[in-house]
Amino acid sequence: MKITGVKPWLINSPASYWGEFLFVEVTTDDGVTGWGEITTTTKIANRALTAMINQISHMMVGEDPAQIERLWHKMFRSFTYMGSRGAAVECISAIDIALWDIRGKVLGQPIYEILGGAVRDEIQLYTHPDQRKFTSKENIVAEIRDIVNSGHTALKFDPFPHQGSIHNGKTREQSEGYLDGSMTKKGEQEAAELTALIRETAGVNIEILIDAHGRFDVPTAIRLCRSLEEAGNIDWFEEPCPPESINALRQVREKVNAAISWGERGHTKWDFVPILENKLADYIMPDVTWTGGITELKKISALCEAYYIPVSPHDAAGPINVVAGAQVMMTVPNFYKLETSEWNLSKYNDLIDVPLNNSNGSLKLNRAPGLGIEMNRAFLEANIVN
Amino acid sequence: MKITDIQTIVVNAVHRNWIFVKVLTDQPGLHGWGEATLEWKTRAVTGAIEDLAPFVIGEDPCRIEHLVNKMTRFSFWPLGSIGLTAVSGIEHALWDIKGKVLGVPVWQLLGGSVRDTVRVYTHLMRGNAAAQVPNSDISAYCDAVQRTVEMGYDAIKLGFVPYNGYDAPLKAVRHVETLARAVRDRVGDDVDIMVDFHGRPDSLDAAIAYVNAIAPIKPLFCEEVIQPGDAQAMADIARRVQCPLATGERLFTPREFADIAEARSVTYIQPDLAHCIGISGGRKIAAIAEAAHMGVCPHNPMGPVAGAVALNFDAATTNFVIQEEAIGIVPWFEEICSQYPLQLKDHSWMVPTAPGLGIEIDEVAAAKHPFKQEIIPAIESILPDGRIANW
Repeated sequence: MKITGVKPWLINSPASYWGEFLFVEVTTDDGVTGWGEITTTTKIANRALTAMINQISHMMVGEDPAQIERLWHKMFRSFTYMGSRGAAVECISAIDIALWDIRGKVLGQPIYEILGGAVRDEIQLYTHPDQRKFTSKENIVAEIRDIVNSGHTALKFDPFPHQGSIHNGKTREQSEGYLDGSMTKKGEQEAAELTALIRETAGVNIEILIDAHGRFDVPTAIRLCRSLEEAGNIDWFEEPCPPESINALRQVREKVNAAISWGERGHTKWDFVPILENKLADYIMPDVTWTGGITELKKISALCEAYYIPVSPHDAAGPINVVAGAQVMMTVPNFYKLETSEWNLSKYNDLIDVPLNNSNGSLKLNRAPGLGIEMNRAFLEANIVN
Repeated sequence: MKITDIQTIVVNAVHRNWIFVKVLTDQPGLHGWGEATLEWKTRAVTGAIEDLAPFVIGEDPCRIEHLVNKMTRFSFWPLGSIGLTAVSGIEHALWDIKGKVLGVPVWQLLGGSVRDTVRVYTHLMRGNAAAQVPNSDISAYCDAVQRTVEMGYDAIKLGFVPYNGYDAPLKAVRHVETLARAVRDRVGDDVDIMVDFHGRPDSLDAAIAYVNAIAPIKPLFCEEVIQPGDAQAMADIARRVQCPLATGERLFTPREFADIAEARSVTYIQPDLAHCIGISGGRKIAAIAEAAHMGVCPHNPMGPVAGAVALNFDAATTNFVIQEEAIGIVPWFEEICSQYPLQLKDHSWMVPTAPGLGIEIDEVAAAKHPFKQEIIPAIESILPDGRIANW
């Protein structure tokens, strides 16, 4: 059995927060195909990765798709002089997921069976409110009630208003990225009020997770975290500072009480080593489509297990991200919850053959081989980005 | 599919008794093999397997991680070397069953092969107890090293550091220095030499004295230069010598190996898959080592099933370096197997192709070598003043 190609599928879709999905298909000479996903947060990055996947395809043709770990390293080492821990690992992630999908299909088993078998029956989820609906107090309350009523027991949001002067309808933060790391007292107050309202609506039994998106400098991150601890008794504070500085993370951690979560921008196990060794996070949240795929998520989980740190895979993308993370977490003892983008995942139904079952806030994987979902090729073709 | 029974088969191998674990299922003819050999604790391990069996009988054998959790967590008491060896033997058999059910070798379930051959090293005279030579006779010792290499190896591990206390007697250090040089001169630079200290030196400086005596011959590594378990002490030694170190045969859990990795104590770790919760434990440990840029040299002076387990693990593990074996320990090493995957060619084992672990014990042949009280060489480890030393 040989690989015949690796194809990027860049898709327009309103089901994506970013408007697009980037799926990757690995084809073989006996007709089995595997699916992976990369979906990043910008159109420019999606297109750059598409070009890289097309180049990597040449290298993969003729390879044995069962040699997943060997191909992981072959790809990784091909990019070592441009910096493997970034775009290259994101390409590897998608292909690695697709190779595990193929392996499962060939053996007629869900991926979790190959990874050592299930240690749990279902995957606990946490999810997001749709903050575009946060136009009034009533709408916020309604959105949070929908989540709680759906059975989810944890939810995450970013309460911090965007900063900077507005040009062409966008704040400077949106158009240029968050550059100065500060927050006005007014913005802080708005964030605290929103968090207090959501805590009040959700009640004490719901875990409230705050995503700071790595936007703040050290004193701002400390101030905001303390403010939200007070306002909403928050259960985690994620990426307080830009991911580039471990020292900044340490300074924040020493001054706040909330649990720290880190890792969606950690690429490969090596990025997690200093976080674990320096005890800088309470939760580790790699993204299976960015950090190195199923192979790497399994290894990172083993590292975390030795440090008694729970793993909570990140997802800000499409259905493959969700099920790939879930397949690994089915086998990982030290699992917290898996992220999904909304409580209602029927938005994915056009993309896949069988709807995801997230009733009562937990994902129930089916026993279909591989990832357990098959992409709707006709729908993808109809929505491809040219 | 359900597990219906767990049996143990003990085969005497002079210095140890091999403990083979057979996990049976309700599918006709479907069973898995594992190995839970632990030197001089044979009855304790077979007893531990009996004690653990109720946790897994009736369960689906394909839920390997789940059953490991069941055996370790339901046990309440932390499982030490005896308990974890028992768990490991059962764990191997579960992978064997899974591979047989799916019709592929176990390495195919671990992400596929990352190499074409698996380099091995052996012991003096392949571990044949009857052919050992005292290292006091340097020339005869070098003859034995040469004969071993001529059996088809380009790597050999030797244990010529003497029983030792807190000081390293100069005469003993000089002898080690001379012997090491003679061995290197005899085999040349094409052969890798490893030296196993067995944790004999009681102090860091005694260990360093011997490492310094051996370092000039450029060994692949010196192993367990002090007793295991103190990651920082091992790291202190590593910083003070010009020689790669290795440790791990007497460490068990990912947590213990994470301590070694975090302190960057050694160059190579040596988990024993018959003690460290088998393949699933070994894979976690290998990932921890890979993240810390450490190679994996699995420990294995044991029987043929442990060899088959290691071979499947090695084929699929990126940071694998070299595999230990002692297949000459007794003449019936291969005879007791009806299917045997450990084929040596060009200093290496071939990657196996049979489903599962690729090994079957011939129970009739195995029954010819029943349990016998082992010869325990450790009883000789007494220092001149009558103190008991580390074996």
